[in-house]
Amino acid sequence: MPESNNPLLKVANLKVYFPILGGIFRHKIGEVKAVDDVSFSVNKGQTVGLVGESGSGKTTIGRAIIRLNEPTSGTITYEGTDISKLDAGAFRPYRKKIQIIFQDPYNSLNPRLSIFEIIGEALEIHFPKMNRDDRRARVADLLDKVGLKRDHLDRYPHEFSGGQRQRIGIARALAVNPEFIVCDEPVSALDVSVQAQIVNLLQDLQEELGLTYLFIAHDLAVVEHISDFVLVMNNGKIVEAASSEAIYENPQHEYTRKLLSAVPKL
Amino acid sequence: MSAPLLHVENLGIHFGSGTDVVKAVDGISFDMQAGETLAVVGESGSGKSVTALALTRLLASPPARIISGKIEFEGRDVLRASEHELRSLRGKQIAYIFQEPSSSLNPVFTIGYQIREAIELHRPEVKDVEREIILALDRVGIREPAKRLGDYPHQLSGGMQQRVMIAMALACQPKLLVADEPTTALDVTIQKQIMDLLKDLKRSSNMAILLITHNFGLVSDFADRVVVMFRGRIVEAGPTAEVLRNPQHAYTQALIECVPKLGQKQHRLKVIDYAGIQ
Repeated sequence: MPESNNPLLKVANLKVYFPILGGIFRHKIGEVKAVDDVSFSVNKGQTVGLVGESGSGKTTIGRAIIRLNEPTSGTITYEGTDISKLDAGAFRPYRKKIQIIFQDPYNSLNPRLSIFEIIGEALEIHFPKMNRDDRRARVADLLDKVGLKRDHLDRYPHEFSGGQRQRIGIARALAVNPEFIVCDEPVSALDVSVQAQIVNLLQDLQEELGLTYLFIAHDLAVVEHISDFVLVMNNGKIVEAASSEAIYENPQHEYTRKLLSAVPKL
Repeated sequence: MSAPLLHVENLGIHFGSGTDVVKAVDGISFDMQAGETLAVVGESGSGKSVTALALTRLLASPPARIISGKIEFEGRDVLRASEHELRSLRGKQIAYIFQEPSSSLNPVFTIGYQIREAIELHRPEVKDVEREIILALDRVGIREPAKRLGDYPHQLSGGMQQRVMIAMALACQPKLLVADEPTTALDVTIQKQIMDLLKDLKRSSNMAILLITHNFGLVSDFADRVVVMFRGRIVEAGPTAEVLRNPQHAYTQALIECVPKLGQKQHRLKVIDYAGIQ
């Protein structure tokens, strides 16, 4: 990894274990080592790709960074502060700086809320002084930014296609002016043609807003395209870390070669 | 040339009526020979899945209405077939595997039970059903199949569930297997395994396969011929190698170009310019 003296995000010796419960008293009889001693860092403005199969632990890392999963041990340092042990109140400012985009655009939007309510909710929490008209104007601007129409504000998720819903998910993440976005398989559920649109949108937004991404996916072709640096994960461990060019031209680990050979050739 | 296995002519399928009508399939025609693999490529909403379901009249009507055309399977008119005839067509002659294996399998029955049901219904002549189930699971690469019969779908991974779906489809010895986005819900590594399995089956049997996909990447070393659908119409059709090498229609070109290719890093991925397509 190109060492920088002060990376934006630094993950060191991260472990996330989940207990396996059993017996009549549901006590712990074992554990799943979802993430097992993982270290990496992400520099500002960079995209780091995290690639691996289902069950490799890549999503758990993303979720641990935004504290949707509690780390078992290790540190997650953001701008020099270890955020992995902060209490909810102390972590709140980081919820604004670090956002997430989820894989499934169908299940990650509340079907009973309008687009304004979905995106505006974050503004209400993080910018309590903003009045309703300002919020509507801000949400309309965000829709514009992600390639949707400003007057889609009062529509509901079911009125949009999968690609459009993913744009709504991106607008929601952008609402609070984040610096760092965990993109958790944002294009895996989409058609290849729509995948290309969303990948381009993420790259445009990165250039415009100076965003930093952790891009999680199982498809090495997409990861290679969008990332500056690629981490290959298998069974909770990082087995290879290299620039995206080196991963393709000179894969070192057998598992990386397996992922490369799985990409359909045209 | 001998009579085709499947003959589709000027098929038109509409949803809704009056001013709200959606022409999901708008006058398409294609043939499939016995043992042939044909890929139908198009985006969401192009009408490819609706076409696949129409082959055995699986579309709920209303809202769908088949307003024109002909579907013939081994010379028999599917659109005029009785419910009884359709039942012998579905599963036995034309079997399906779908995108989401977890929602295609019944969660409360074991996989052995579900495959048994298909065999007993469609092949009553089979004496030793248990052996047939084990053979079917073995063919799709499930190890120690005899020990898996009592497993429930939730105990299997997505890739294994899709193998069970394929085993169930094959157990009926269909002449045509319709694979509707069989790998879209799976990881690329599992996708490769399932596509390799379908390739093996294609070589080892005389079953025709209709592959429905949005990803041109899957087509290249699989299908003999390819049909490209856009907004309910076929915009291009031909042998796969030829279409890939020299796509004639702007939409086909765009669909091929938007697949990210390893080792050819571009500044931006190509996207489809819908305004420039007729």
